[in-house]
Amino acid sequence: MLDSTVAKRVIQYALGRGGHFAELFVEENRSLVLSTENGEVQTLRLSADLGGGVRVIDGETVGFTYTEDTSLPALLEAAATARLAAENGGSNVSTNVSAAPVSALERKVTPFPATERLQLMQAITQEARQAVAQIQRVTVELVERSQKISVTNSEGVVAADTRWCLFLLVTSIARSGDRIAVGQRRWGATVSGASTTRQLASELGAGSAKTALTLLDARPAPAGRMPVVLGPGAGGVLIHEAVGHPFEGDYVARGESFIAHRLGERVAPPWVTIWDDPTLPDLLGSYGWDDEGTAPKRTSLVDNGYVAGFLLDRMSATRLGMSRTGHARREGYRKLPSPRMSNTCLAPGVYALDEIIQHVRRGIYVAAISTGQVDAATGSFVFRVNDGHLIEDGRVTAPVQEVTLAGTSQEVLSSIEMVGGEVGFRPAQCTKSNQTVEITAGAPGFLVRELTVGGTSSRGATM
Amino acid sequence: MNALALFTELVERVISKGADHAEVFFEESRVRRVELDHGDLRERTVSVNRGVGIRVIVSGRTGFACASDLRPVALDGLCTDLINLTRMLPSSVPSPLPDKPTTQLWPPERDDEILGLSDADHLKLAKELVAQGLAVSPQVRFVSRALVQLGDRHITLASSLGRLCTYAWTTCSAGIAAVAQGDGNRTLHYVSGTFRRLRDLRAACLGTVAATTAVRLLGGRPLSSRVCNVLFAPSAMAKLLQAIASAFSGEMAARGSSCLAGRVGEKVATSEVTLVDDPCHPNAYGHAPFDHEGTPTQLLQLIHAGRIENLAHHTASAAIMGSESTGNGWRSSYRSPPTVAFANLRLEPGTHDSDQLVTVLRTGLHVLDVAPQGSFHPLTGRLSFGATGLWIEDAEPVHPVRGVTLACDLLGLFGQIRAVGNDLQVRGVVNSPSVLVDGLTVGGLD
Repeated sequence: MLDSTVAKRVIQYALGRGGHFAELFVEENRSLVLSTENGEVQTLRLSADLGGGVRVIDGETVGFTYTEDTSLPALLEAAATARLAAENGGSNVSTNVSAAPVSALERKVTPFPATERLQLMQAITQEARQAVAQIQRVTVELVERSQKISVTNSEGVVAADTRWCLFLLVTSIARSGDRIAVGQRRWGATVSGASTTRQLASELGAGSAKTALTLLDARPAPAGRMPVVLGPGAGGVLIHEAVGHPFEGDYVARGESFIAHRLGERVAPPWVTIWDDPTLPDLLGSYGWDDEGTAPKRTSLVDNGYVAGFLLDRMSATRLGMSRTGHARREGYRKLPSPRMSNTCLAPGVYALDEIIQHVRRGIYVAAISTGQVDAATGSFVFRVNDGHLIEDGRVTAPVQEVTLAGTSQEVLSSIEMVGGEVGFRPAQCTKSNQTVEITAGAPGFLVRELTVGGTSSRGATM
Repeated sequence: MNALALFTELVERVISKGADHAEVFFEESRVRRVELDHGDLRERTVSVNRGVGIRVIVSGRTGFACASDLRPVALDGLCTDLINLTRMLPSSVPSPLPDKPTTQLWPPERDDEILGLSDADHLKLAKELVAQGLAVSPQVRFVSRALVQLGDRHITLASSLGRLCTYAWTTCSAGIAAVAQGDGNRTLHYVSGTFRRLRDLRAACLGTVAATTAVRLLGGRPLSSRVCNVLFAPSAMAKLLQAIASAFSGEMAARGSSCLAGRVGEKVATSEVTLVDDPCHPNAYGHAPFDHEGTPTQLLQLIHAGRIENLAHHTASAAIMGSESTGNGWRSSYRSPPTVAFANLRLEPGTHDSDQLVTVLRTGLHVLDVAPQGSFHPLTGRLSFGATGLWIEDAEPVHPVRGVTLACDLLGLFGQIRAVGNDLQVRGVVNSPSVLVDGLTVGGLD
């Protein structure tokens, strides 16, 4: 993608008058976005991107710039700008760029088979309509992307990675009289040529349609404090938002996170272990090298109830005096890297899902969470549940209309009471500071003793 | 060759490759940004961003491509792929390009103070925000982040149907996160604002606002679940309006995805409620003479005196609904085709001053911040969101509140508005005064 001698000249130039670290990140990206509504194409979008970002670090100050022109003169100009930006009267550490082995994780990337993708989308639509007569509208959104990156830095790292991903979001809308309900399914893969079969079309199409049908009979949800059982996969979103984000090194290093300064402390019962692992094969959050050229590794956040580690990039690792964990990610060459999750998971326990539900006299069962956000400082979070049911006398009963779950990260960690044995993974996109990256949120079914449920039904009316 | 000629030539090239119609949208921006961490410079970024979005119509089908890879060989290959792929689409929703020829070559609207701000003064401005925050109270322990961004932007649009438009402008924005601590409690409050003129950014005193709110929310606790009256502060109401704005999109209505489809003309709120989109206002952050399809912008009344007057349209949604574009075809960047959006959404101020509204509320929840992102479904109109604020009794604050949720539906929210404040606060694309709403369901402790 870029000649290594060009990259090295840029690095040397960037460090010309000081700074202790310089890095060139070059990216070539191609993507296809298709969306259909009832089988009719709504959107066809192709994109072609090429550019490079230069980062210079001087002490704790970062200078950064990027350019769409990857010729040597343009990159040298970018390097000069980044160098000027970082200049802070800081140290003048001499650096030389040594020859280093090129480490490339090459996966075969085939051109986007748009016709085949459209056939899959139409099959999904058909499966949804055939499964449920009340389905009024089916939308399918598909994103397919191939990305080649190279990272060269003043410590001699020369890393390259080729990434590919396919992401599908299926939304089925059912209507019966005045009642409207929405069912969704998501799917993602990172191996080019992943199976996109009739069976997948059925899982996504019929699956989303059946959820919409069930939710047509949804009652207003109760409001108040009650036990919540999160189904396999669904709870992964809660773990990602409420636990994962506050463990990201930038929040920790800035002292913003509620978990800062608590390494080694007990924050959860002994049956709670949470990790993040970018190296798992074929999950949407996986990668061969992180966006700073660091080899990723599985990182424990909570180990048997104790705070075990944080997700760290170069800056946060330096500030915290810890080692990088290979979690530096960036949306593209226009953005600076920051520590992010990849595939985050609550480790499985021993219970069957039925046992967990039987344990609850009255509460909420959550089969899917659509969106959520957390305030890392206080750990306060809010989630929107788009597939929820009542639990009455140990059984899952009536579906409930969209509800909100609110609580704090500490509360969730300390009140996870039972953890199931079977893990579900949900592919998703996560946005932080205007940067969106692909992730996977994993968890088995689990019980949280008490959360605030925000429904519209007055207290006790439906329980 | 100048930019206009270059993009007119690109349109011709796409047509020569087999497109029936083509439109090219070019965007270029230079953005300077500083970010402080605990008052110290952490990042200084200079970014020059340029790219092109290309829409084509081929045999009645619509396709879109975007590129920052502007090397002729890459662009040529992309256009060929785009036309071939568009042609082979089985069917596509008709999405016509605007067909009324118009040439709008606007002089740049730039703030000299933004363009001329030196790197040192840029940094000083961010440090002033931190100083404002720390000066509020000893309880403000630190300002974890403060950032100031200065942008110089330029767009050009050319189409085979005779549109040729250019516009250039400057922007400035700031964000600040203040952390307050007291009696074992801790709060972080983040405030941001985007403006067209540096003097408006300075006048907003965002550092003071962030820190004051962080201190006011210290020691917050949940409420028991209840139905009560709620007074939304201007910034909280603006976030709610931003969350529900998609219901006023004619594009959503045309697809049957908005709960407001077919409700134009209905009275939904007290006559004190007027909601407009006003890109013509010269000082508005979203001010623009034309939208991203080249259609002239206008003052659009969405709700006037409590009655729904209009939905917003771009060319494609107007064609489906048999009406005219209202100049609401916007792109988040050159990377997206136009979609219906709002440039300067404003709930018009009412007659009550905000102190008076607390008296009118008497007992209830004064909401200072909400977390509504992604919690609104435009078809069902249901909205549920987290809130923080103050519990008020006898018109006096009793204790801060956190960890509660509010749930309602769009028409209920508008229908239950009792009073609108005269304290319009302008900080970005969506702006509002304080609003008092009766009888909302609060989810909290049992």
